[in-house]
Amino acid sequence: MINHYLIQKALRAKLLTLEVCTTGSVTISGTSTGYARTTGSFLTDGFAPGMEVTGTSFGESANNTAKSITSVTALTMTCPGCTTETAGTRTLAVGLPADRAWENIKLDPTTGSPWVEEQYVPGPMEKVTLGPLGQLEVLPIYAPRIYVPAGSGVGAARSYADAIITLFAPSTSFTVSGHTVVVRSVPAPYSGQLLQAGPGFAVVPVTIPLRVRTANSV
Amino acid sequence: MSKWFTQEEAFNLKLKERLNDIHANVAFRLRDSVVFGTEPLTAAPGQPVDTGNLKSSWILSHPEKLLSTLLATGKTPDGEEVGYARYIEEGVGMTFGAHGGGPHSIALTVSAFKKLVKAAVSEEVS
Repeated sequence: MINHYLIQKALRAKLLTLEVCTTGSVTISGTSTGYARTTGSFLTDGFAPGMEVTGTSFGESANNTAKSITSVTALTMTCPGCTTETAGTRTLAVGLPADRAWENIKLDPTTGSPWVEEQYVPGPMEKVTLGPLGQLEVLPIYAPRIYVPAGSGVGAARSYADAIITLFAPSTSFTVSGHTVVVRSVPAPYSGQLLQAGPGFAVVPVTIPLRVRTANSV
Repeated sequence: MSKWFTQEEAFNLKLKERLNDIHANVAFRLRDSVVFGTEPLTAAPGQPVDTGNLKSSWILSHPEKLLSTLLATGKTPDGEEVGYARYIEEGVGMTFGAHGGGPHSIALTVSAFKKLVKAAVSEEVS
């Protein structure tokens, strides 16, 4: 039979691999207000206020921890919590926010930091092939919601949503405990309107329609 | 020759009637799914009821031509705004359960739309 629990866990595991943007391995320094570079562009790389950025390969641990971006220019990124450090080869990247409200798990969001919430809707089930062991088809919906700080504009919200849609591109498939889970093409994954989700956050909903088929082994 | 045209005309009329019946069947299934949550093919929960405003704001109409249907929300017949409809659909900032209904009714209906059409065709043709 269909195992929605395992399907949801697999979807969650895939969501955790989200990559929104990265500098790649470049020369970056730490400053008292954030990060700086002398070549390239944080803007071109896709960074935006409201995202949560994480550094790697910095000598100062404070510069490696996840923190929220409050402003970005081509050569500077402002994020409270950084410390001064000379330039070196490092990476800054944005993935899934560290604050995650998995279904039925309480989360107290941190003001000023983005967070993600998931909803899983099992959807209708139908027997689609003949015989007592005919295949069952289910149409679940996986619905991550990305919350960004209110007032941070649309850049972070839209970039997170676009990255999720790219991660769950139409026809993406994986197998979970004998079930074939496919991201549908009609309707394909889509993001909704940015909504104010007070207090202190705006939210962009993403909807991922799925098709699951499995043998009816009951 | 004239008999042929008469038969063709009768066939076209019948075809049109069937199309209208199928279209109406799909439209009512759409409404039942999104608004009332009584369409098992989509498993949509329907609109939650507290004041009843949201449910009564959903209007099924045929705005342009015969084979076109609009299912829309915005205001109740009494003019009450239901701007929270989108939050209900997205399941954002809402707690459900006390009065039935829930989020994602539109998403689930769109997701299973082909099933609705298939069922309507099957029902009208049989």
